[in-house]
Amino acid sequence: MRARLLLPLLGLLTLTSLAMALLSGSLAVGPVELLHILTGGRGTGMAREVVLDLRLPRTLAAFATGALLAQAGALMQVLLRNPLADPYVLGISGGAATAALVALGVGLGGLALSVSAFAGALVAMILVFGLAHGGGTWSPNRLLLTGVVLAAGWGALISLLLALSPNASLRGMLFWLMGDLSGAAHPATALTVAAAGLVLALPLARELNVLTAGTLQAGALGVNVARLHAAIYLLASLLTAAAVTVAGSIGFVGLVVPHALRLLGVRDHRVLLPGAALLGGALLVLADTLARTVAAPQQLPVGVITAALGVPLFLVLLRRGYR
Amino acid sequence: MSAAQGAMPDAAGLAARGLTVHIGGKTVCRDLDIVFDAGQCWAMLGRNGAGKTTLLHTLAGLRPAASGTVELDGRPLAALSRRQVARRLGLLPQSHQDPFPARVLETALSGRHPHLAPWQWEGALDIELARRALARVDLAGLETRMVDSLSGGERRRLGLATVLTQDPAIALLDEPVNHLDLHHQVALLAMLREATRSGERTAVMALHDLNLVARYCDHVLMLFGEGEVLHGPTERVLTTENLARLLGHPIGRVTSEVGPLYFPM
Repeated sequence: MRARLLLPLLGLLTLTSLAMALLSGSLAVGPVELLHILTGGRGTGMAREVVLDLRLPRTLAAFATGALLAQAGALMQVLLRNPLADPYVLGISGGAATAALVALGVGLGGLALSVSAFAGALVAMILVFGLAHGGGTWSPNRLLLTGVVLAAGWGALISLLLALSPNASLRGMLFWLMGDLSGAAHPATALTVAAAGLVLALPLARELNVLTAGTLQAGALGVNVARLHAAIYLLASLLTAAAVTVAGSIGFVGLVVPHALRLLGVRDHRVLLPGAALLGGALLVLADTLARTVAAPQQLPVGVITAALGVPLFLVLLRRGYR
Repeated sequence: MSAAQGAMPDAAGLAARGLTVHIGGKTVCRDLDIVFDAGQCWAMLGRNGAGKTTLLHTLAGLRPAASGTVELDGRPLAALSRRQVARRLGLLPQSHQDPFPARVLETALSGRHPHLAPWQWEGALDIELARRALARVDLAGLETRMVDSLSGGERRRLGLATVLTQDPAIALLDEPVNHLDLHHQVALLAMLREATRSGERTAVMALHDLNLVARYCDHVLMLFGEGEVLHGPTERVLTTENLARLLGHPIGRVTSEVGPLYFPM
């Protein structure tokens, strides 16, 4: 089956993208030297520092973020039974961004910035869940509308914060909003969350397949729909919150990666979820590598590159149609 | 296949006890006591909005009742997990949603979901069951087609094939012959009737075509709206008087070589 071939291929793509990321930069590091450095062997002090302290953490953070976003996107699309859903559609990134801009505005950075972004994401998540649940029933449409309206509210708050902020902090804020991996120094947490997300989502994968046919059909086929909805919502939201905390709002990956796989013929979520994690991770690693090398020493916002890579790729797939 | 073939004769199968169902301020049925026995093929009749779909969903445990219980093999539905229910009871919804791309065989195969453990993949046997179900609804050869390329009638038959793959002892079918051409209406109802005749299966179908009801269903449940319900063997219940009152339209009846024929006057 094609799906059996796809995961190894995506694994290969991931390894290639990681290698490219570690080899690229202003300091030339050869493949052999890279292997030595990674396996703990010899290596010149300078190259060692650049690879292990700068490129590796940033590359792994990019991979984790891409994996988180693509998984969250795939889950949101099933939850809302809407192919247009992405991880940000319910305003989780809006909550995170608002809190992050406030933090940047008062001069916070580093860990404090991450903590406030994550707290903002959690507030947004609880708000959507509570308000959408209010009436008792929990339909995808109600959830979607609640989320979209709250996202618009967050958007207004973000505009207000930008308008009131002094020029000095605007650039940092804009980079955060467009998505930025330059501050990502500790990828371990994000990688752990991405892996844990996959471990938690995979046992639900066949239920997700059934849920694509609607709540009634899923219920008739033995799925506890209310419980599954809550589980997907929590999981997708936490994955999104983790991604936004690491890298701000990087658009496009969460929307397009699951669809690219569907266009390639992957419809089973047991393959789609790990496939999305790999493809999303690899795409963001490649995009971030380009973002920091194309116009070096100038760094481009990675969100611009994900779109520049993703838009043509996706349009080509869409023209071919579903296989 | 089922573990719960009880000793009590009326324990197996589906039953409603004192069931009251409301929707949108209307009463679908009030204190309904009914047993859908194995081997029976039921038609559910009523005007648009009488509550056929609502009652089917309630019987499937997918919608709470105002009062009373639905029992499956002698146990209240609420005491069973959705998975346990789905291994014994199937539902063909009135319409289908396909927001994501899917192939015909995969869709039919989803009927195996309640029979598989969470980590288990569909095996050769499951695929064989799905293929056989597709053949029974005359969709053999369309296995690799995308679902959104099917016609309305083909999509409907695929829904039925999913239920056949699920292979429940009790099948609740919400207008199963909707969108089907005449030949497939007759062929599929004959197939369902045959499946219940073996004595182990029950079908409960919301239908509108009185002639198909007369020909293929041995029991009829009439929903008059406002909670009034009449049910019993077809030859006793399916009278022109009952039908005229049920449908709000005078109904005529003639006998023919294929049995009684009903027509609006």
